[in-house]
Amino acid sequence: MRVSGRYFDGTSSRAIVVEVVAYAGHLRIQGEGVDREIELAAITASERLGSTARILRLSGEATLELPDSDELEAVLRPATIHGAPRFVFGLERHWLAVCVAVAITLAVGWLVVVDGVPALASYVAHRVPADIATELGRGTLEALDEQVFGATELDAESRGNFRDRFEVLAAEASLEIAPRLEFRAGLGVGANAFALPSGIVVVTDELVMLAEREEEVVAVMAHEIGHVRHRHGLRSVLQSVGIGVLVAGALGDFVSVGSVAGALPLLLVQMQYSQGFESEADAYGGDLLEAVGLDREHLATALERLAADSGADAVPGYLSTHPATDERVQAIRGAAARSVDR
Amino acid sequence: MPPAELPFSNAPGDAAAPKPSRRRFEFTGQPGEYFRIWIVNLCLTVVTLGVYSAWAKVRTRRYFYQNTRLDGSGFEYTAEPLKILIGRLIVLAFGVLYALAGQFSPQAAVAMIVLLFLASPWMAVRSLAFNHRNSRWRGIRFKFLGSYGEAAKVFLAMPLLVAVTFGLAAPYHHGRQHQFLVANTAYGQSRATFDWEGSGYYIAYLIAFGVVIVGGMIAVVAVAGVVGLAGLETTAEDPESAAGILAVVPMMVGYFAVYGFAAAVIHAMTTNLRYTFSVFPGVRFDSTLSPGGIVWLYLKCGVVVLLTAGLGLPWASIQIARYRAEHLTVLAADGFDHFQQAEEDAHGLGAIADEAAVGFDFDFGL
Repeated sequence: MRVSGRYFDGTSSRAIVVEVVAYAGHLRIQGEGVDREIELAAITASERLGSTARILRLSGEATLELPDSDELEAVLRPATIHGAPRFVFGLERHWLAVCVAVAITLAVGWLVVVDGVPALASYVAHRVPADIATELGRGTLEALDEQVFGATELDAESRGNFRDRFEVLAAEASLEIAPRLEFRAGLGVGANAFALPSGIVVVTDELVMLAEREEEVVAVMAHEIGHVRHRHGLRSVLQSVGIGVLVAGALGDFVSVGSVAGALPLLLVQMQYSQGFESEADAYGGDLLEAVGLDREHLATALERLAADSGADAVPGYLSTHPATDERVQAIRGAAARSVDR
Repeated sequence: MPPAELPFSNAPGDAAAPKPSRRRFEFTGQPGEYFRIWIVNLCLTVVTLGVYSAWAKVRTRRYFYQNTRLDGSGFEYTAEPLKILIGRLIVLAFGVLYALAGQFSPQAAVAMIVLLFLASPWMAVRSLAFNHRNSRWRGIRFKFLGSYGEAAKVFLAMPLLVAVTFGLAAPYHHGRQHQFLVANTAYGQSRATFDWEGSGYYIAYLIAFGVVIVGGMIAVVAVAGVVGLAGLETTAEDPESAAGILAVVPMMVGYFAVYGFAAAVIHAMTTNLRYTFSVFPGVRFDSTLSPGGIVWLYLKCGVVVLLTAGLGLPWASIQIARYRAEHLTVLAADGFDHFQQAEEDAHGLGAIADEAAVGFDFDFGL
């Protein structure tokens, strides 16, 4: 092989045009004031990359810049390659391989996001010992008290009554993480209920006021115990960490996390995860109600009342953290019909 | 393709001095070629659960460096992928810890943020040093010589000054950051200088401020018009919320248009200033970015990326790199052959700080 290139001695920025000849495991480099021979095995060559020039690091700081070609690549066999392994360039060069790469990327990405991350998060969440899960969630209620909630204004009698009914549910559920009931003034969040990772179920005063029957509140509690049972708090934390890490770590070079293009799909994905949790909690809550001798219809009624109160469902289903109320109510009533059949 | 040698138009009339040559940066990357590199990088990264991302990063950066050419020579990026991988793992561990701490112990999360804040000057200097040391042109290394103390002053103390002056010091701070970045850069033994004055930065910010005020007024009038028209057609049921939803979309568009243009003004004008003030021995720069050009470029790229569900990203990256290169010219008094290599420092800089800076999305304006 004979090729002309440019030589840089590593001490000055002057380019020297050289003729390079390859023979018997060596390169002979000749040009104005340059005449050297170097063993190919002692050279470190930059990886093959598109149609860019190859940069060969010779002994010390000297470099040699040569136009890339298959012939040069064959000559450089004994050299060390700096960068990605040689097969990567081969993949890039073949359109079939590129098409396969597009397909694999989309398919694996889809699988990981839709199944992989939730499955992994669920696996990990259910293997965290109950006392550790409780400990981890200790600060959450305090933080919410500071930022969101006010003190409850329900009378002691009413609270005691709900507490008793909650204990019946909790006893029936008999979970590793024991659910505990707390009342708070919802203020900004209005009529609502929350399950925290530590097993604490928060019911807002507004929810109790809104309900027309006590059983509706009990039904919402059962739904929240469903969140505790399935460790949704911990799982959603792990899932958002997982997805965030995936996007930032693996795709950081390809999609800027800060950009809308990166953040929007992330948000949509997390909302879909959340919808799955709500459906799971609905199913569990309905079963739990029936187990303590209540009608699961109460949950459906409570959901409809909450939806009417908040004016929810103004946003399309795929943009929401909760599934559309109609769908949830239908699912609950469907489950009721099936359990009657049994 | 050798760069065209253009006559130096605004040279002083000194006949004895050799005429400086004017050379434009070139960007020779091709969208089709880069798409293939990008998708194979992405695929291998996904298949290896992210491990390959370090090699992908080096390959990507190398592609852009090598295809950015000046006077016939491309730039070289020589970082070790393995160092970048180790850096990524450490950043990943910190990120996971922070995310978990944020959920379960606000105090721990705050402590981590404070730690990160205090470490940020160190991280900035380390990442700049890592990147400079691994960048070469014609075999000569770049070097970053900034101290942690100066970084702390520029990145920690001066933002406080900006805050207490209600933003009046922001343009000055912008220029001071440029000074920190440029005046601490050396190419071989040649250290850059940055003889700057703040007035240009203040003019850029004033124009951007004017854009926000005038654009904001136009946007408010336009949104009110849209809502008013729609309101006439809304029936009695829930006029308030219907108008509210109708107003949200044009408001978002208006917001992005106004602030996008203001950001483009600041970006274009301050980038031009940065290059105007940067001088290497015998070498000056001339940058001719225009706000309109920047807005059009990013708009075009954003639309293509959205319409192609992200597959147009490599195309967009190439357009942006090409635009930047084509608007940067170098004026060399006596060519590019006189630069000398500097002694290499013994201490091996790792990629950790660089990765930390990337992982937490700190943009130091590089």
